Amino acid sequence: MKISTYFNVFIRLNRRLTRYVNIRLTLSLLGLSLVTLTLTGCKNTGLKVGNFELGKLIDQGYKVVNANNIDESQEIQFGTNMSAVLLGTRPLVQNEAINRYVNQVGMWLALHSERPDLPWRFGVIDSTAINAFAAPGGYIFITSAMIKQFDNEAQLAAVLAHEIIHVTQQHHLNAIKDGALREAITASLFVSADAYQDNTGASSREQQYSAWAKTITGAAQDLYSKGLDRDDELQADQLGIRLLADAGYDAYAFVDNLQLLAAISADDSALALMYKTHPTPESRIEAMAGQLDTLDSDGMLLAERFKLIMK
Amino acid sequence: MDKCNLTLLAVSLLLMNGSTFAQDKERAGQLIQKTNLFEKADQHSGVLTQLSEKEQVTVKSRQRAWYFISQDEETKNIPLSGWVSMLSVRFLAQAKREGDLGFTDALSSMSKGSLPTVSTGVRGFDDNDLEKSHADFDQVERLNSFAVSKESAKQFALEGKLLSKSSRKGVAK
Repeated sequence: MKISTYFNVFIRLNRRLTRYVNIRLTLSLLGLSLVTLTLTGCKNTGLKVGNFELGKLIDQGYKVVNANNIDESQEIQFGTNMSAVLLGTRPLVQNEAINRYVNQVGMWLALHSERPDLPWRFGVIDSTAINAFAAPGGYIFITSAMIKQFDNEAQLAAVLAHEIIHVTQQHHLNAIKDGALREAITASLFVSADAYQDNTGASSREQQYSAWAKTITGAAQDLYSKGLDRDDELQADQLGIRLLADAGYDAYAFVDNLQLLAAISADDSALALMYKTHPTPESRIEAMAGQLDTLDSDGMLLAERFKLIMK
Repeated sequence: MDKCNLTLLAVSLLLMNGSTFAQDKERAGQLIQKTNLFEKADQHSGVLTQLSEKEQVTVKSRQRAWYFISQDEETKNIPLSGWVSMLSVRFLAQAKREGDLGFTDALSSMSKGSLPTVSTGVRGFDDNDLEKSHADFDQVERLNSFAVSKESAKQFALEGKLLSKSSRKGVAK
C-alpha cells in the first residue's frame, strides 16, 4: 500500500473519531440541559401522588405509561375532576332533602356492592335531560328530569344500581385505557388542581391551571359524549338488577324503567345523549330477560316514601 | 301570627297544592308477541286465553314480573282481564313528565325576588352543553356536603323495611 493510501485511511479514521466525539459531546450537553430544565422547572422534584412523580407534569404531553397501575386515590381524584366538569355543565338541584335522600338510597345500595368502602357521593343534577352518570371513585349523578319519571324508590334505586356497577367494574378507566381516549390520558387527570399548581414550576400559575383544566374538561367531554362500551352497559344492567335485589328492592323496577324509557319518543331531545351513549331500552330488556326468573321476588317498591320526598 | 308568617304559610300551601309529581296511572300498552293470559301472576296458574301480537291492552298494576291487564270493552265483545308477563308488553308512546323537582326549588327562586316560572328551554345535557362546560369544584364541595354515613344508610333502610339478601336468608333459616 502506498504512503498516500495510508494517509487517506488515517484521515478518514480521524474524521470518524472527531464525529463520534462531537456526537458524545452534543448528547452530554443535551442531557445536562434536560436535567437543568427539569430541576429549574419543578418546585418539588421527587414528590409523588400515588404512582405519579408530579415533577413530570411539567411536560404536558406526559402519558400514563401503565394505566393499569392507577391506585384508588388516583381513581377517586379522576372521578372528582370528571364530576366537576359534569357539575360545570349543570348544577345540583337546590333541594337539599332530595339530594340527601338520593345519598341514603345510593349508600344503602353501595353497601351491597363489591366496593362498599369507596367515598360514595350521589347527586341530583338540575337538568331537563333524562340521564344518569357515574364517575370513577364513587361519584353517581341522576338528572332531575329522570327522577321526575318515577313513581317509587325502587325505580330510583335501579338507576343508581346501574351506575354503581360502572364504578365498581371501573368501566370508565377501561374506556380511557382501551378506547379512543387512550391518547388523551395524561397524569394531570389523576391529580387535584392544587397538587398540580403546587408542583408544576411555571412562570404563570394561571396558565398552568388552564392547561390542567383543559385536559380534564376535554377528557370528561370525550368520556360522557362518546359513552361506554356497549358490553359494559349491558354488564351494568345485569349486575345492577342483582344489586337492586340484594339490597331488598323490587328488582323488576329495573325493567319498569326501561319500559318507561322505551315509551318516551326517541326523538325527544331529553333523551338524545342517553340514546347516543346507551343501547336501546328494548335491546337492554332483551339482554336481561333470561335472568329475571332467577331474581328474588319479595323486594320493596317504597312508593309512599318516594312521593313524600318528591312532592 | 304576624304578616310575614302568614305570607310564608300561604306560599307553602300554594306550592304544596301545586305539586307536580304525578300519581301512578293506568298505562296503555301493546303486546309485542303472542302471549298467554293467566288467571294469577304465576305461570303455573290457569290460562284464560291466548292473546295475539299487537293487541292493545291497559296495564293496571304490576306484581313482580307480571302485569295485570285488561282489554277495552269497546274493542272486545267480552272484556278480558288477567296477568301477562311484563316482557310481553310495550307501552305506547307517552309524553314525559315535566316540571321542577320538589317545591323548595320554587321557594329558592322566589327568595331571589322573582316568581317561579315555567322553563321552556332545554336546560339539558348534550354534546354542546358538555363542550361549554367548565369544571366547577364549588359544586363538588356542595355534593360532598350531602354525603351520608354507612350507619345512616342502614337506619334509612331499616325505616323502609329494606332487608338485604343476606338478612332475608337469615330470616328464612
